[in-house]
Amino acid sequence: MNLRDIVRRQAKMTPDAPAVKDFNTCLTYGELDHMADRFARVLASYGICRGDRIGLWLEKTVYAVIAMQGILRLQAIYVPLDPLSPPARISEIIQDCRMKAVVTTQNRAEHVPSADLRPLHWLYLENIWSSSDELDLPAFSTTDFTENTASTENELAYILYTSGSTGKPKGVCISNRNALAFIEWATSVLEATSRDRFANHAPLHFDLSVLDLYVAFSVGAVVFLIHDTISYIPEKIVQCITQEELTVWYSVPSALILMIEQGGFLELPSLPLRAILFAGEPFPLQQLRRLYQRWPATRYLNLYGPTETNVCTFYEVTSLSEDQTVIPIGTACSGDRVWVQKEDGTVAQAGEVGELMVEGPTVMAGYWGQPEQGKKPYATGDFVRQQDDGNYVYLGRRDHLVKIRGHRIELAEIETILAQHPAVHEVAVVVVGQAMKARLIAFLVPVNKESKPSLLDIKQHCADHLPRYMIVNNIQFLPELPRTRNGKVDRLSLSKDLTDRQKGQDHAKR
Amino acid sequence: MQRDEVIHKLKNYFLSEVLESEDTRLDETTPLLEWGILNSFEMIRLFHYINSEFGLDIPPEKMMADHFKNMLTITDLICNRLEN
Repeated sequence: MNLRDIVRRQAKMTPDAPAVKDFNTCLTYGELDHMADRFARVLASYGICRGDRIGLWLEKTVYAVIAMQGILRLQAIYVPLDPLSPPARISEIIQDCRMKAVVTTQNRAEHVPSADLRPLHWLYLENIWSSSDELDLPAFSTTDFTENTASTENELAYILYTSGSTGKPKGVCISNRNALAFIEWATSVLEATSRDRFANHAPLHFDLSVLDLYVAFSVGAVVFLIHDTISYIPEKIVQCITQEELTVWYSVPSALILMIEQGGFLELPSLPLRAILFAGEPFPLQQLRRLYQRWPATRYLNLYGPTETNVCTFYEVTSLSEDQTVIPIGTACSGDRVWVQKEDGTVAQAGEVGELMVEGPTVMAGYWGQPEQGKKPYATGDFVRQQDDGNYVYLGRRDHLVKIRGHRIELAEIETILAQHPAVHEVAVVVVGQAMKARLIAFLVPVNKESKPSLLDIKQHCADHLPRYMIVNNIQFLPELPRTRNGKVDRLSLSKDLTDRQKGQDHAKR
Repeated sequence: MQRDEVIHKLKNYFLSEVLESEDTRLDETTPLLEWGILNSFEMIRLFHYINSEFGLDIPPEKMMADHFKNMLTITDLICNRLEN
């Protein structure tokens, strides 16, 4: 079994069942299978073959899903790119994994200076589906790739780029085996069936979308793609759930909180969702309690895992006592083994704080261009503690990686970019606030006190190099950065200053 | 209401409520989405502002990126709905 076989197998069994739907189009398994084959043939006509990296720089529609499946059929590797990332970053990723082609639209590609990117093919979606001349395409038989899987399950299926502390994004390489181990676990824990209707809220370059798509395809269910432009408009997403009668929802808690607070989610007369899954950031207990009390028949699952490990622990909320203060990340899943390692390298006992370590089938093959992970355990960088009942509890990060609405952000990456601005001498970036209210604030030491850059200068500079979720919200000028005794930037005092000031302002507003 | 007046109000809103600064570079064509001035959180606040200031509900089908590119496109959206 391989990732690429999932849709094909389902298409043989239920060709007329709906597979994937967006606001404009609904494809059956038969159609998805046929179009994915056709797409693979188009790619093959450009000389694309096994192991090539192919970028997907597209809005989220059924065509992006067809492209993914087509790429897999050639045993090539898909690299979903953030549709909101600036051309400079896209170009950096194209070069990093030496892509052979990028599937996109012409208006996007025009903005990427492609001189340094050859030999790269730009494949425009509008051309691929408008040319009706199938005969020009090279022959491509789906039976070319038999279920000879043992040899290929360690081959890569996709690469997800995440924020890197060195100032460059890094590619997390996921093999067929990595993805399948997670998908099989998720399908079974959800007791998913063909009657389910999956929501896909997360963007395709986010690992949350892997569950939505492939668990649905594994059981012959339909997945409904929620377009990026409405994914944070609370009334609209609640409307999708009720109109499409979705039964499984998976998103970051921020989206659920918005639905609760502003989308009328708790005021609905009934809820079609039988399972709500969340991951990416802690769910504030107060909000989860409201959700749980209003819709007690729905299952609630907290999934945990960095992109590098897929989902490696989970916790199902089966009760929420009054004195409970935190939702655990739970215990190991997907066939993985997890444990806690103390600073001195020894294994922590229950109750002791340490870093969460993961080994098992879902741990990535490695970062692109770096030595393979092999069987080595992956150190998550997350501090946790094991409770007496065996569940792990997340406590914080060991480095400057932060999560904003589920987006993983290395503050150092933003700092590296800002330090390149000609008017900036030194910079430190901190996060204030939580969930939907989280904001990135840059503390800047200007080169010249008389000619400080404006907030818009800084935002524009960020926008030229970073994805949108990494653009700073505001700036503050300092004559110098506060430092701890050993010379490191004292971020704690920076965030504390801001929090105190914010409290003062909130107070003044009342 | 005149277009100029709508633009003026929007500009004040963005300066005082969103950017929280007196940035003189902000004008009608500043790319609000591209520069991360309007993110998902600010978008929802903007809908509330348009509702309270102009008495308008933005229907879901108008909640498309094209309408929120810059202050000119938002003004078009507001003025069109005010006229109808």
